Amino acid sequence: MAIQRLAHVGIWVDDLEKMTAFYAGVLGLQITDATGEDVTPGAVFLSSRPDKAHHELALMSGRTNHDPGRLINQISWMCESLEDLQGFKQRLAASEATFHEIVTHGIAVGIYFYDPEGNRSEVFAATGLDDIRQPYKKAVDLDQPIGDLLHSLDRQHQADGIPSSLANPPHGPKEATMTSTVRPPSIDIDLYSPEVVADPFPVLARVRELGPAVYSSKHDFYVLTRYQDVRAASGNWRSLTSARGVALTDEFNQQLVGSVLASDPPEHDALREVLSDKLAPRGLAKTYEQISQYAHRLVAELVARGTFDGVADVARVYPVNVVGDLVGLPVEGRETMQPGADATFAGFGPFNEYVMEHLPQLIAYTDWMGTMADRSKLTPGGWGEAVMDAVDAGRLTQLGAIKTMSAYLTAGMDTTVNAISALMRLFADRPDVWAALKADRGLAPQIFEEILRLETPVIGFFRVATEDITIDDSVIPAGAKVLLHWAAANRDPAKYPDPDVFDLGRNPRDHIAFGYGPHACAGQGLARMEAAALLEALAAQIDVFERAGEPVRGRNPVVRGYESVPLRVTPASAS
Amino acid sequence: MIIEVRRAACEGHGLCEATAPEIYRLDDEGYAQVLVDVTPDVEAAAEAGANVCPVAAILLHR
Repeated sequence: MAIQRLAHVGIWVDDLEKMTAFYAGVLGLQITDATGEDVTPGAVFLSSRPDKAHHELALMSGRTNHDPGRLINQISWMCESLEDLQGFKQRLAASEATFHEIVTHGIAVGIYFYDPEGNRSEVFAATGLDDIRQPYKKAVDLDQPIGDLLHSLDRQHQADGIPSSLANPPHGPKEATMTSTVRPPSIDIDLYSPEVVADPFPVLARVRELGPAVYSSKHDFYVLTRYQDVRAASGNWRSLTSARGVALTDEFNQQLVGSVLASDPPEHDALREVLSDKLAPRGLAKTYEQISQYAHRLVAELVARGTFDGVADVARVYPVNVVGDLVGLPVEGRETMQPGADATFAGFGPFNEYVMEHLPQLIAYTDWMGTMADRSKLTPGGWGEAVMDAVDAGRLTQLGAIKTMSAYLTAGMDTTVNAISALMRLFADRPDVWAALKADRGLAPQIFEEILRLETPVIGFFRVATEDITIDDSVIPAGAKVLLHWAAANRDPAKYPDPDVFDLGRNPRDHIAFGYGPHACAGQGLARMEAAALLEALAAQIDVFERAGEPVRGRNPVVRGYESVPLRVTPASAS
Repeated sequence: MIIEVRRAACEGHGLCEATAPEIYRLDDEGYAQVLVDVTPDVEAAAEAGANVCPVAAILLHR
């Protein structure tokens, strides 16, 4: 028989609301339960690990003892690191708490303070030192850079006869963590091979089950496939940098470095602002009408023809002309845009057969784009002219102008093109979804979000780990390339039940087909607007939407979509 | 709970408003604004709205 551990502490309080606000707001504990306001005595339960312990601290109203000095010696909370402890000091300083003392015990550094009702509490961080006889206590100054803090702790400890080397640990912290963690499992299969590209999701489901991070021996990278991990990694630019490029190969990354895709804050934010000035929804408000009129003209042509290809005649035409018009490009030469963007996207993966086969398209596109940074070719009032204004004002070089144009054009093509191709197939295969849209055009946004989740056009981009990254108990070593697999994440059954099914009611606005966080697609507002306008025009002008042949999948290993979706439509009856 | 909208990051995609219109609305300039004080009964809606922000512009402080 043995006590397993301390489970919780309960204290009587005068002001339940104030004390709850302190422990939840300042210390960051989560409220796991509470009585209603009308219940006496009131109780609030809090925990730092709600998944493990329902409550660690219970606050009960009805305090009678008002001499706090010698009642509770301390309620002590552990935090993860000395850096976190410094953060807590700032938070406490801004709260109703009052400091008692800040000390090192050798084994830990702690902040002792009185909570708003005078109960003594501590937040501490373990130092990793052990075998130090307690009680041992010496004051420390937390308000110094972490390196200086470690040195001053070492000096204090050594003066007191404690051999301490926090600033220069004998074995690095990385080795120490490696002992309790595992290397991620390894796979031989090439995620960019034609076989996997043709039918990726069964393979990705197995990879997802293998572990949070899986090593691809074929191309020497780690891949993340679970929704929560990919989402967190997409936002974590400090540990997973974009600044060394977001493609697999060094050759391609050299071309990208310094662009909005391949940079970190704060440099990234300035570049992104140039794009989002035009692309953020607030910049686009006036363009919806223009896009919608074009969508209606295009759909009218399709209806007149009766049979057409949903890829060649819709998906590869509509975004090209929407973006071409917004930039103010001449119509001649636009035919190079989609094949060129397709080849560019393929270049983010390994330089395999597909990439080599499409080099001519890439070269034709690059050559054409190089000639477009020229005021005489651009329609006045377009984004292209604004780029040239920036060149004239000395804010952008000629090369910078080409790069910015290329950001608009390339990124604006294949994502939207492939998402629309997937919509064409969806309507051909799912008359129920088509009928729902016909009945309620307000469903257009949630149809688009669900197809983006299901058919995530850009499968994922890479990051480079700037430090060892531990996910669950798996470690990705510093310096490794890491593929954030958005397509796999969006079919994680832990996030989306029945992930392989198009579910109209799902409305998954939190999918990560556009990535997430600082590098989330800058053009996603335009993509949503294009889709909304197109779906509205289709629903308005078409009655029956059906297959006129077998759809053909695209072979691009980085962007997923269709090569062909033969369709037949009948016009909407005049109403 | 306190909601912080980072204006520098907000691009006005409006998914917060579409998800929790009782909490969030885009202002006249297209930035998300918080309409109400977050009381416990609307915390779940506040979280849902923050969760769908594609550019992580909404932070929740507990």
